[in-house]
Amino acid sequence: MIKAESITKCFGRKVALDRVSLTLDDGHIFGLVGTNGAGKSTFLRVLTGILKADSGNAFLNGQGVYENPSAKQQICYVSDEPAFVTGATLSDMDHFQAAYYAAHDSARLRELCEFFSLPMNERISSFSKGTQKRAQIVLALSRHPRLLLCDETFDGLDPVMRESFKRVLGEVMLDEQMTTILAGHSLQEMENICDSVGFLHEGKLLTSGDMDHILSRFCKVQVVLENGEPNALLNGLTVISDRRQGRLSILTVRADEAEVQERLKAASPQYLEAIPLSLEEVFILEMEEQGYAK
Amino acid sequence: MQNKKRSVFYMARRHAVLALVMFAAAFFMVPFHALTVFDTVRGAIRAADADSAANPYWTRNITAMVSNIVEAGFNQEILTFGFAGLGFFSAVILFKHLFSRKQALMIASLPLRRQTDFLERVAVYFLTGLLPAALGLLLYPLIALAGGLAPYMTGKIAVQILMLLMIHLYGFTLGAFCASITGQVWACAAGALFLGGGFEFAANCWQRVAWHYLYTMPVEVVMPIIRRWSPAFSLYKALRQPELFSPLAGIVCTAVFVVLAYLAYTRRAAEGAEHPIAIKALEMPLSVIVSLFAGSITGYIFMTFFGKEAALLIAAAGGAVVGWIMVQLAFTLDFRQAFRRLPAGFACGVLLLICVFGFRFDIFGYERYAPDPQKLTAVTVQSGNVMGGNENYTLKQPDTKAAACTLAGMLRDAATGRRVYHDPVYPEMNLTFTSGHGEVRRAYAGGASSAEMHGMTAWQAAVNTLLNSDEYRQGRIQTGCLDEYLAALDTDAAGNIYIYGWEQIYGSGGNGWESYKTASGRQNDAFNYRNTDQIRKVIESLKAAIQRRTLSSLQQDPVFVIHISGRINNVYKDSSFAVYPDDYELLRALGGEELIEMAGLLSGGFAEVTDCAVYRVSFDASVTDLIEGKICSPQKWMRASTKDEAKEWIRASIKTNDADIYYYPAVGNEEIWIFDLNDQSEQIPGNLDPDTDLVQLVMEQQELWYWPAKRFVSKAR
Repeated sequence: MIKAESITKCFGRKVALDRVSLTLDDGHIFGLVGTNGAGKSTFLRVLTGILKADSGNAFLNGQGVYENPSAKQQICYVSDEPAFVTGATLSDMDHFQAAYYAAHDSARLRELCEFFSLPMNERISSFSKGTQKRAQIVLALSRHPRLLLCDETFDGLDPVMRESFKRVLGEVMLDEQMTTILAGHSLQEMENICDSVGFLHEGKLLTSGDMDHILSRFCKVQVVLENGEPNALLNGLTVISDRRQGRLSILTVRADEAEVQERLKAASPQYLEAIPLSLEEVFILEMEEQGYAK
Repeated sequence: MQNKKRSVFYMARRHAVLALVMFAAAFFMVPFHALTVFDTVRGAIRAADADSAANPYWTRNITAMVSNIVEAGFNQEILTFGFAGLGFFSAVILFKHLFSRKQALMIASLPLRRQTDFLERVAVYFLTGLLPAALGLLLYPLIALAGGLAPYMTGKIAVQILMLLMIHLYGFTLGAFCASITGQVWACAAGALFLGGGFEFAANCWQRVAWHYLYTMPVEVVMPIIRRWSPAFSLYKALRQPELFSPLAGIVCTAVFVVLAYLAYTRRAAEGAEHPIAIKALEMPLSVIVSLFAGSITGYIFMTFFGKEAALLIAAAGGAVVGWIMVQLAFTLDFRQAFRRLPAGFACGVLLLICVFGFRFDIFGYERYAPDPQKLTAVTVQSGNVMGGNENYTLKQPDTKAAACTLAGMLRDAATGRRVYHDPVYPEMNLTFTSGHGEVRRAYAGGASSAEMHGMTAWQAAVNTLLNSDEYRQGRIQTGCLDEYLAALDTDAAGNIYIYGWEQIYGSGGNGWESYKTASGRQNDAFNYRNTDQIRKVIESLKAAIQRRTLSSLQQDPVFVIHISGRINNVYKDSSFAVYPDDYELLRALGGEELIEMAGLLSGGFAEVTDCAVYRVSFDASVTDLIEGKICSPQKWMRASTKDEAKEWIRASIKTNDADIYYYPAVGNEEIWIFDLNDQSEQIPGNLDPDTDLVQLVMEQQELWYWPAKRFVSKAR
């Protein structure tokens, strides 16, 4: 289990993380979504034990992470800026990881390299950005981590490799009960594979929870009423948007879909249909509420 | 545990190239360079073997060459800077991840404690930095052994190899510390330069500034402290002469750097990489230090160039403020941030001004220091031209301590703010007052002329008290190590003690030594005595001369100086003594009757054997005014009536350093003018009547000048 307890981290006067708390069970896959500069990378680095929190703590299975080699042995961080030993090949990185990580599996590395079409003996610095991402992923998975933290990993991969990565990740998670945190802006991928998700904005975790829960925080309906204003029926609920196309009203409301439908049905609508919201739409709505974008 | 070992060996393997560079650099700087030196040495050994009358010093010289890495390898400076640089380079390579954000984050993600990571990097340094350098250096004794030079090898080689490795380690720890507190390589290098010698340099600058204002401050106050306590300097000195200098300061500093590097490495934030200063808390103190340093340097440079107080003040304050702005710019790499916290920069400038004014107005009462002789346990004197030439002795008796304090007080009271060193016209004294509270040093130089000081009754009384005391005479013998040399002669070979002749540094002495060398056909300055008896005789004669000398004999121009040096109980000793015309026994022991004759000739005897006219010319001004070239007219002149009188006049005179002018110190406002009557090339008319008054002629024609005595000496020979 990974647990973040009220983590605060400042860089100079800038508050990068403001009392962020999160708990994830083993085998869970969590999506961390946030605006640019929201503190996603910082949060992952604190969870990895790279950065020291100014206050609060990160724990892996009850052990503090910072300056704890046994915890760090089980954590793998795939950075948004790939970093390797200077001038190294994947073969060199194999030796590097073997020197530092007890669970490093050279055979698995070779296997994954083959799967992701990565040359073992070419300098990684000569790889393209996307290929370097792939190299990072295979190196990470070859360590059999208990916790995998991926920072914008999907963003540098082509669609084919994204699918391959998702497939491999799914297999590993099933086999090894690995917990994964995916941070980034590829919300569609996250919606597909994450069990739960959290929104980070200006250093604060606005909300987090199961994907279904998050998606159900808003509902979007199309409704045609014979008489009356739909807004009046939704009195007491937060209507975020109300667009009209003739008699058709398209409403976005911060409320549970069942409650909205129930209220609208009370007015015997000629037409009523709930439109499912994507994670991306929910995120945008959430950010709009925060005044981030209009 | 197994994993830790693996990570060390992995890192060591990755830095194999570093190891190669270290080995090659060490090999190139010492054993490789020594190959050519050894070739020369072997040639010299063959030559010595072939010559049965070879100089007995050969063996010692060859041993000194072979057993001294600084002689056989690159010179001391290159070796010191080279090995410190190699150590620093190792640190930069092993801690280079601290200069790259990506690399720093990657290393921080490794399952290692910072402490372990640091210690592993130090271990890798030992494997890839120090060990290869040691192996490279160890080829030196192997090459020497292979070259058949084993008889000339001593343990000094091992000590010097250890010293070089110590310097390497010092460079590494300095680099590790600087890398740990910085996040950019240029900042690391700047920090290393500053810590390596910046404080010493700044201290020297302030010594110069203080010396500019404080008349009684010795020329070197800071340097002795630096020699003793500067880490870099102690290693530098101990490399050449490990038997004389302790590298303790360097070793302690290395240990301190390791501890500081460890603390900084384990506490620095991973996000500090690529910032000039990785530890934010250090920004303010470093800004202040750099600002004060910049102000000190610029103040000193401007004072040196322009020689004006205003230049010092403006440059010190301005330099501090500019330094502040520069350091803010360096820390933030943002022009908009360059002026942040500027009031603190101004405060640094004001602080420097307060320091300058502190010296200017002597707020600490440095100049007013006047110890009570009764409360002093000893007074150590280094004097020039108080009694004679350059003398060192320590006084412990109440009357001699009081006399030394009297002389110092009189010189201080006569101070004009002008310092003149090594001029026989001016007395100078460096005193070390020792009491229960430690030592206090003061210097007094060039306030008034010897003639003027000797004209004072109190001065004469104090000088005579010193001169006639056993402490002074025994002190001269003791500080000159004469008894130690004699004792060494009883047990060791004469070859351990060398006697050289040299020019007298006070006055010109008429180039006495050069004249003697030319006359006696000597090729070098060494007396080259081949047996113990000759050396013993010289030293005993010198002891006797010291016991016998009177004030008037000491006030003559010395003929030349002898240096005595030797290695006693494995410690190098060196002392110098002026030789005076009246030291007949000493002159005889040194060079026989020929040298006595030469000394007599040099010190005035030329007036007997050449055709010259000697005048005592009195002026209406003091001798100090005369020396300073103030316009004054001869009031009275008197020509020597006999050659003997001419000789005595010249002999009783002394000669200034700055001009070929002879003064008659007993009177104080008289010069000795000497005319070569046979020198047709000069402006004296050839058919001059011997009875012509030459001084009158000089006054009338305003063209004629007097001639330095040395010309006469060369003619006489």
